[in-house]
Amino acid sequence: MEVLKLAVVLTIVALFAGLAIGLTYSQTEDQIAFQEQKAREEALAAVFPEGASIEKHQGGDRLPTPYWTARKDDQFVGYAFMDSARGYANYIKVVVGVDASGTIIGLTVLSQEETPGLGSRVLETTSPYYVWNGLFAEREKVLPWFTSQFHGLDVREPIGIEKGTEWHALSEQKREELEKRNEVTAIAGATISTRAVIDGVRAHIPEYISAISEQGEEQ
Amino acid sequence: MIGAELKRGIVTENPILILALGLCPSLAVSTSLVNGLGMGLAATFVLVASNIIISLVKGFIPEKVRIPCFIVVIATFVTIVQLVMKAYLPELNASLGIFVPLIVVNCVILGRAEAFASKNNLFRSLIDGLVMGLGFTVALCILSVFREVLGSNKLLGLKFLPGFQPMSVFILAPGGFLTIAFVMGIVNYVRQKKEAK
Repeated sequence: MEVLKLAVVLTIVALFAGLAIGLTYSQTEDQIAFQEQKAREEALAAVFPEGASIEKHQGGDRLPTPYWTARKDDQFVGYAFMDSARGYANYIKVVVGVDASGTIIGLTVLSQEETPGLGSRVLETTSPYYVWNGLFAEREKVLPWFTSQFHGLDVREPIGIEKGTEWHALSEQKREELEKRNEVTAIAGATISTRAVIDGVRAHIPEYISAISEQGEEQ
Repeated sequence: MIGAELKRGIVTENPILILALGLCPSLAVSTSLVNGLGMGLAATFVLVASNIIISLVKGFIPEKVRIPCFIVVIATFVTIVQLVMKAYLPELNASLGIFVPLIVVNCVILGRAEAFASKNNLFRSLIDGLVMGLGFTVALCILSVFREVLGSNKLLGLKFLPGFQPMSVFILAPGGFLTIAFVMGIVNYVRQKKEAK
């Protein structure tokens, strides 16, 4: 009889727990979907130049679904693809913008679950302000430094990793040298996350670009 | 009475610095002040809510299944926090990542449920949850200020000192251990001095 009583108590507790979670879920469902949609749109807008009109395409045989193209002032700007690669904790999802020749024009990390303070720094932005003059200053939106360093790299060539000083602390000249070598700087203490972003950028996108040019679309 | 309770939660029975409970999440999220504060407040909400429910139902829960019941209650509130954070604070949710679901296994919360809420009335349990949560948050903030400044030369995401070369080890787990050890050492030193008087 005692076993029965224990089971009944556990069932009741679990029932109420399920009810509470279900209620919260139904109340937050729309808002969460809205936030995810907003994050996707912002990521896409960030990989293309400002003011570009973005068109969504259904992929095909060798293309992912969906992918996007952008035009600005009637000029073709480039493609954007979404891909992911295994990071330290979970998959890192990236949105990559490339022009027709395979040069990266923009990169955003859409979602990641890397270690806070280490791998999560793929999203870190650097501020020119100090604590004493920047705390209440108007802050403009800046792009994360880690993904910014991919601008101008060739997606069809291997992207190397330079360890040492991080990109945001490098001089303009050093940054240009890195770009010439098709290299990015690693996040200190988070080489696995660094590599995962590169993998996400490099894994399928060169194939997508050649598939598109073979089909002769949007040139 | 409130003052005495606050002192108990933040100073004399501080969950991290004195009781040494919940060190795992403390090590993991105390890398920046924003993360530490966010984690502290999320855990405080769960702690207060679970203390309230557990002190209300303590009469119905048989001794033998109390731990699973407590865990179910705690996990429910953690899921609620996570859903609400996803909906309204997506940036904090993204930066705390995996550590929000791990509040479930934060032993501060189960510890207070077992040691306090299951033996005390609603009001006292609520106050206990609040002061313990505050103590947890304060300790996390102290640790994360040290680690953010030393490990990345930043505070609240802004640069801290010009020309200071940050020591990345303080962002990594070993730096977390070092910081906790130093802060605990100072707290214990002050405590012993007081007792000696």
